[in-house]
This record gives sequence, C-alpha cells and structure tokens, in this order.
Amino acid sequence: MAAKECNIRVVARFRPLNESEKRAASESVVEFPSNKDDTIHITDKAFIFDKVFRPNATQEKVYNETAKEIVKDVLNGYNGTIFAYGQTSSGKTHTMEGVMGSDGQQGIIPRIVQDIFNHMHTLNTNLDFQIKISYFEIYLDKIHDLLDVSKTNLPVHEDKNGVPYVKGVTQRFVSLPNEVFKIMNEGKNNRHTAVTNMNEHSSRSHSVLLIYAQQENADNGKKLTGKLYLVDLAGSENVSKTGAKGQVFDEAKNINKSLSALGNVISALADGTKSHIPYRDSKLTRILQESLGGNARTTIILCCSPAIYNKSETKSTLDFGQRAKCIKNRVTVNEELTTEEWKRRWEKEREEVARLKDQLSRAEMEFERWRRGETVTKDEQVNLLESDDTLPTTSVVSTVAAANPLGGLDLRSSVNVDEWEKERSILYQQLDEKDDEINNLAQTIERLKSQIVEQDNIFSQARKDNENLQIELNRLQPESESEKEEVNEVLQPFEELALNYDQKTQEVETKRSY
Amino acid sequence: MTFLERYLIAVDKCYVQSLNDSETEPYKSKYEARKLFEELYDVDIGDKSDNLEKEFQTLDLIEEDDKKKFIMIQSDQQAKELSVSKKHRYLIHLLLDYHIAAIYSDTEERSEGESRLRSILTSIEQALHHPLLCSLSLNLLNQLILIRTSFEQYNDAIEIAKQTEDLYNKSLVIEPYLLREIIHIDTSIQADDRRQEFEQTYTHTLFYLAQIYGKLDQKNESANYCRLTLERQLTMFDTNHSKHFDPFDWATNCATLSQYYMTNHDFATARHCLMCADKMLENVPSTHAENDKLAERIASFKRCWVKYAVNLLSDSSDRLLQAADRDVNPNEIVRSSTTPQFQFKLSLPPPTITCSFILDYDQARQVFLFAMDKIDSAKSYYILDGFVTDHVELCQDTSQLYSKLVFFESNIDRKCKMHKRRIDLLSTLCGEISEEHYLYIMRQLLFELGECYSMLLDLKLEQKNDLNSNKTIEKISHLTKLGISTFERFLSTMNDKKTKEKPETYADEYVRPVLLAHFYIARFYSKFIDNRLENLQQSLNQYKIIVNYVDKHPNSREYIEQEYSICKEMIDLLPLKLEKLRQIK
Repeated sequence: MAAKECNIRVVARFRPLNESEKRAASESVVEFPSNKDDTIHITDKAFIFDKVFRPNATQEKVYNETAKEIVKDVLNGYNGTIFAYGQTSSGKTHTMEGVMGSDGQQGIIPRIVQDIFNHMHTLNTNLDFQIKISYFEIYLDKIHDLLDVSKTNLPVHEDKNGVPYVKGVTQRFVSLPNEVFKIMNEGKNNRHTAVTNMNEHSSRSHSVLLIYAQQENADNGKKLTGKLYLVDLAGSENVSKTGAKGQVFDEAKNINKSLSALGNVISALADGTKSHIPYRDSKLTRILQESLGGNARTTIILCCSPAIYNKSETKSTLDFGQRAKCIKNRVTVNEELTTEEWKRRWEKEREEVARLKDQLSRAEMEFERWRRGETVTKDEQVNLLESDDTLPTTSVVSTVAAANPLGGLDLRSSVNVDEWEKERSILYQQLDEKDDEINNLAQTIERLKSQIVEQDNIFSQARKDNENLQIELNRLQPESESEKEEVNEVLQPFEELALNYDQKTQEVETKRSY
Repeated sequence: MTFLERYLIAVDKCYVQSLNDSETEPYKSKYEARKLFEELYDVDIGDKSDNLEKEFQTLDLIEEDDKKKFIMIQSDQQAKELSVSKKHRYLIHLLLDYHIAAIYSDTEERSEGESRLRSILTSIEQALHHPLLCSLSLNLLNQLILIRTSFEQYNDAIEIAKQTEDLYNKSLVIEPYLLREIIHIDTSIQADDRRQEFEQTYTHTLFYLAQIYGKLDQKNESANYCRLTLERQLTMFDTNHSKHFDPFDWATNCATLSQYYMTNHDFATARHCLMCADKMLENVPSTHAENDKLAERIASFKRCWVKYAVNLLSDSSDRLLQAADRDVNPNEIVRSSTTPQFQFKLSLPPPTITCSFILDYDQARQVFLFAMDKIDSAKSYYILDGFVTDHVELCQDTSQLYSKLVFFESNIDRKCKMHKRRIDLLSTLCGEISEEHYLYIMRQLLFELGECYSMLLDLKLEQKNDLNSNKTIEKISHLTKLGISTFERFLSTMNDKKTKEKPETYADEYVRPVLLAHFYIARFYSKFIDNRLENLQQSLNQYKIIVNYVDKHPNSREYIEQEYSICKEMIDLLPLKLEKLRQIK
C-alpha cells in the first residue's frame, strides 16, 4: 500500500544489539534488504513502512527524517504529533530523549526544543514568542497531571469552535531548552509516587508531553499557536525480562487476574459501531483528534530490538505499526447506495410488502388470541378495514404495484375524507388516462386489421400469379425436353463426323512422318 | 515472631508490596517473598489446637507411588497416620509449596511453576474438598488455569475449570477454612466471612472462564460467564460486603453487557441488564466523591437506551424485509422473546419500553418517543459546547431514529417531514462546530446530510408525478442544489489544508465515501428539471471523475465495484442522450 494514502507516517527504528545480547551471542532476527530503505524482513514476513532506520542510523538522521518537518509546521501554527511505541529497552527513550547535552547523542525532544529556540532568535523583535509545556498521562482513561499530582482526573473539554483540550492542566513556561528536561524529570518522579501498581501502570498508561509554541505580533496583535504532542504510547510495554530462564511471553496471551478488568472483558464483547460503551471512548483519541485528522502531521516511531530474544515483541510492535498506518476514520456510509431508479423502486415495493405483511401478522396475532378464547379490547383490535384491504392485496401487491401506480395506496391512513376524495380524483384521472389509452390502442388495432386485409389480398394475388407461372412452367418443360432430344438427334451425325475427321488427320500425320 | 506472623509478612510482600516494584526490578518483592516462604520450611509451628486436631481426624496421609498423599477418612475407618503434627507439617509444606509455585509462575517461569503446582495437586487431589484443603485446592486450580491460558492451551484451562466447578459444588455443604488457617484455625472468624472469601476466589474462576471464552471468540459463552461474575458480585451487595462490591462499577458493567445482548438481537436480556444498571445506580450515594462522574454515568446509560431503541427499530425493519423477501411470517425469521436469559436479583419497576420486534408505525412511534426522551435528557448533560463529540453522537442517533421510523411510515408527506427534521438537525450542527478541529465529525455529518437530501429529493420526485405543481418543481431544484453543495463541501474537507487542492490519492478508508459523494452529485445533477443539457453534462463529468480515479488506482475498484460499472455505462449512454437533447434544441 502506498504510503501517501495514509495521513500517518510510520517509521521503524532498530537499535543495535546491546552488550548483554552480544555476550549471549544473540542473533539478529531482522533483515534489511540492501536496496530498500522502507522494508524489513522478520522471519520471512516483510513489513513496509515509510522509512526503516537501521541500527547504524544516527540520532541526527532520525530527527531530520521524522521530526524536523513537523517542527516547521508547528512554528507556523499547525499541530503535530509524534508517537513513540515499543517495548522496554527497545530504544524509545534513546530516540525521544537521548543523551541530553551531547550533540551527537541527543534525541528528538531536545532537538525539537533547540530548533524552536533557534527559530525564535531569527524572528523580528516585534514578535513575542512563548513556549509552554504540559506533561500528563492517561491511565485507565483518566488524565493525571504529572506536574501537579493533586489533579488526578482532568476532563477533556471540547469547545465547539476550538480545540479539544485538557481542562485545568498545568502549563509551565520555559525559556531554555534544558528547562524542558527538568520539567520532564519532575513529571516522571510524580508518576512513580502516585501509583499503587507500577508494573501494571507502566504497561497501560500513555504519557503525553505537550509543547505549545505561541507567537504574538506586538504590532498587530496577531497570534499563532502551534502544538506539538509527544506521546509515549502504552501497549507494547511488557514487564521487563528478569534474566529468568523462562519462555518469551506475549502479554496479549495472558488473562487478567484482577476483577477490576471485568469491564474491559465485557466491553470487548459488544460491537462497537452499533452500541454505546459507557466509558470506553478514549481520552487520548479525543485530545489528539485534530492531530490524527486530515492534514495534520503525525508520525509514529516504532522502536524495536533486533534480538531473537525479543522476536515476538518486535513482531507485535511492527504489527501495531501496520495497523496504525491505516487507522480507520469514523466516516461511515450508512446507506448502501441504490443506484438505478428501478432498484429504488424495487426497494420501495419491498418495504411496502413488508409493511403489509406485518399488518397481516398483527391480524393473525389477534385472530390467534380470539381463537384462544381471549377477548381483545377495541383498542387492541386490528382495524378491520385495513386487514380487509390487506389480505387479498398482499400476495399480488408487487405485480399490481409494478404495473400500475396505484400500488402506493395508503391502506393505513385514517378516514380522512379529503384525502380519500383526492385519492379518488386521482384514480378517476388515471382511469381517464387509461380509457384514452385503450381508445388509442383500439384505433391502432383497426388500422392494423385493415392493413392485414390488404396484405392478405396482395398475398393471394401473388399466390395466383405464382400458380399461373407454375402451370406455364409445367407446360413448357416437356417442350423443352423434346427439343433437347431433337437437338441430340441433330448433333449425333456431327459428332460422328468429327470423330472420323480426327481419325483421318491422325492417319495423315503418321503417313507423313514415315 | 510466630510462624503465622512470618507467613503473613511473606504473603503481604508477595501480593501487596510487589505491586509497587519499580520497572527496572519488577519482581524484587516476589523474590524476597519466595525467600521468606522458603525459610519457613524448617521452622517449627509450635502450638497445637483442638480445632485442628478435630479436622485432621477426617484426613489421612498415605504413601502411594513414592509420594505422600492426603485422603479422606470415612467415620468408621481408622487412620493409618496417627500423628496430627506430621499431617499438619506436611500440609503446611504444601501451602508453602503453593506460594512458591505461584511466585514462579508470576515471575515468568511458568513451566517451573506449573510442575510444582501439579506435584501439589497429586498430593491433595483425593481430598480436594476437605474443609482444610478446600481453599488451597481452589487457589491452586485457579493458578493452573492462568498458566494453561498463558500457553494458549485454552481447552486444558477449561478442563481444569470444570474440576474447579466440581470442587465448588462439593464445597457447598461444608465450611471451607481460609488459606492461612492451614497454619492456625482462627476461631474469631465468622463462618460467613470464610464463605465470602471462598466465594470470591471462585468468582475469579468464572471471570477467567469469561476471558478464555473471549479469547476463543465464543462470545456467547464469554458473555454468560461475565454475567455469572456479575451475579456473584451482586450477592456480595446483598450481604452488605461492601468492600467487595462497588455499585458504580457493577452498574456500568451491567449496562455494557446490555450492549452485547442488544447487538446480538436479544432485546429482552438487553433490556433487563439496562434496567438493572439504572436501578443499581440509585445505590450510588449522591455524596459520591466524584459527583460529576455519577451525572456522567446517568447520562451515559441513557445513551445505552438510545442505542437499544435504534437497534430495536433497525432489527425490526430488517426482519420484516427479510420476511417479505422470503414470503414468510416474520416470526419464521426470528421470534420476539419477552423473557430474558437470566434475571439478576433486583426488584425492578415495570418496563417502560417493549422488547418485542416492532410491527407497525404505532409501536415504532412508542419506541421513537422513548428514545427521544432519553436523548433530550442526555443532551442536558452532554451540551454541545464542552462535549462536542458526545453531543454530536446524540444528534446522529436522533437522525438515525428518524430514518428508522420512516420505514414504518407510509404517508409520503410525513416521510418528507421526517427527513426534513434530520436535515434541520444535521445542518444546524454543521454550521456550529469548527470544521478545522472536528474534521472527522464534520465529514460524517456532511455525508449523512447529503444522503438525507438525496432521500428527500427522491420522495419529492415521486410526489411530483402525483401532483404536478410549480411549487414542487421549485422545491426539487432547491433540494438538488443543497444536495450538491453538501457533497461538494464534504469533498472539500479532503483537500490539502495548505494548497487547497484535491489529493491525487485518497486513503483507503476514504475511497468509498469520496467516490460515493461524486456519485451522489452525479445523480443530483441528473434530477434538475431545467437546463437539462448543462446539468447532464455536469453529471457526466462526475461519472468520469469516478471512472478516471478507479482507472488510475485499480486497487480502489473493490470499494466501489457496483457503482463503477454503472458509471461506465452512464459514460456510454449519457453522450447519446446529450446528443439527442442538442438535436431537439
């Protein structure tokens, strides 16, 4: 599938084998085809993304090819989102944060911040530039402010003219790039202290770092606000392997031990499109809906380990990426289009028949009740007028309806004199039309009849002629026969003569040659 | 410190403190707990109690296949092992074995854990339902279910669950002691509390089964076990064991379960669940810390009812259509059921809405009014400015309700009015919310609005044949224009934000809606009564857009197979028609 068709860019980044993997002589399960930079093979399955970064890709390369463009847009007042997804120690933190302060090793976030600040310095002095940061996490669909632990269940507010936003979330001003990191560290510490079950928590919470870049023109007061979401997605975070010599487990295979997950189990049963699940709509989607929609810039970075030990996690990460590339939007086409007119007609007849059928079955139900000896009160009775009309009509209604426009007769309408009157005048009118038509047809038939007579005459004349000719022919035939005989008789001597002549000339020839 | 105290510290470390282990050392507490349990093997238990002695009278320890095993003793039989302390010590060892095995399986060494658990099982399987052993057996079997499931051996897990069920049934006549009472029987514990604890563990078994059947995609079975879980939770409520029961969660889960039965066409059960959910919510104290949450949930349940009504109407019309198609009684397609599959023990008011399939307009109207009432009150919570998504969904439901009601209506004037209502509702919303920020929603609204115009137009055209008046002709042309502009606006939402240009290629999920929008526009153009020549030309252009797109993107053909061939035909036919029109001119 062509990458262009999706709004979401998905890239995969593979880290190199780490020391302990090398020591354990772990093999790499992934193969990078040498001629393509968007494909990877893992145990014979090929995954294609917008870009695949190999273990040797530099931080700068990753930044330039995934995030730089987005930063430009954000500075122009658009929104952007970068998701990071992957298991623990797959290089997520390295990719997003990296080594702070190191030119070569710093990750996407410091580079973004640096770029934004650099941009600020190139601007006119009449432009006032502000950068604010929010940091929160979404756990069990509750939004916890990581910069203020007292805010544990912030609502998403959807302003009809504006952006969906987290109401009441703390915003911190930053004026230097490394302040962003201080704030992030503060948030991370808060995250650890606030929860009771860290293991479960970290594998099920999304953390969101939100950078607002706002510029205001001091001269004309024009404001431009861009937002950049950096989301650490939960889901692939498996409980880290502890050196236990166990098997590699796939989190998804396990069942939940805690009854608190009953709600998830139940809500997985219902068909999402037709039902309403009281709490399942995701706050994350709501916050990000504009970033996911249409033309916003969204990139998902899949972080993966190449080691065979992590094969199942890596595969599930890549699968997620594949699914994410085609996140289904919610435009649903309710009606199948009935295209041609006849199809519409047919549908309508079908509905009509169905409606009539149900009247019939209501009548039958009532009949059933009468039979059982029950008394059916007047209110419950099926209108007899209706059923009288309905019963004989049902079986033939489709043919009648198709052949004549009266099929749409409203059998159920109340005794509305006006309507009936109108109906009747229409019927009369139609009757008149039919009469005219019959008249026309009758005339045509007359005309055709006379034509047939004419044709008949011509035909019989022709037949007579034919007969005469036949007689003539019969008469002429014997004549022709006898004449032929005469000719034969005359011709015979000639032939004999010719034969003699031939013999004579031959004789002459032979004599001459001697 | 007594043996029991040391044991309880280990248990606390294993099951409570371990929850707070850091990401880098996720099993720190588990490993420490394992150590604590291991140390207890050699510790003397010390005290003896009469109660224990009494219980051990019915339990014998024998040796079979080189393995010590507990068996039950009938009252007239003599025990082989007479020493209570030997039996007691062995049982405590099994208890410690159990915890250690469970730790193995919790720390990703499931095979090790499983073989240890199986070994314990052989030692107790002939006396599973002894009062002293009951809790150990149940916990052990639950652990095995978890392990088998993690290996994706779902059928094994179900087999074990059957054993668990058997154990549970046998336990009903006895009084199972708590797990820790294997060490020391605590006479201060009420029989009821012991029972509750045991029941709670068994509830987990059922909950595991719900998940296993869910994984096997046997939704009906899964739903049934979810229901049993809820049912058992409800008994906790009856007996006022409030620590095990949260009315708020229970109500929510019950309402969610209703949505399963509803989409499964079982409206009687769905209705019962929803009524129970509503009822249970009354038990949530209004002083509930998160008061807004309660108001939200009340409104949310109303939305469940709305979906119920929409589905009921929709299923009913499908049923009648199918019956008509096959020329059979609707009951032969599917019979209405008025009795739910199960009943939670709650006293409910009489139902205010039917659960039978709808047969005629009057019945449909009742359902419609019921749903409209729910929508209105839900909207007073989900106001537009603040809850855009929810509010819009409620409006979309309203539109759906009208469209389902139309089926049961046969009067063309009234059908038109219903579609008009939908149009008013949807077009007002389109004017109010920001397209930039609610792009998805806007697209949905515009598409549905366009469809409404199309349906209304068809009805008006039908009317026109009956009553030929200038007014209808004017109306038709107006509707046609609105329809076209709506679909054009829908298409413009696809344009690039910056360049304002149409994309070369649409994402897979948009191909069908986009091409259908062109198709609708083509149809609209062909319905204009005046300027036939120009409008048919426009119509032809639209068909060409579709065909060109599909020809350029062969993969997209599958999304629009049927329409594509029609477009092709139209491209052949329309020029002939245009030529004829020109000649007439």
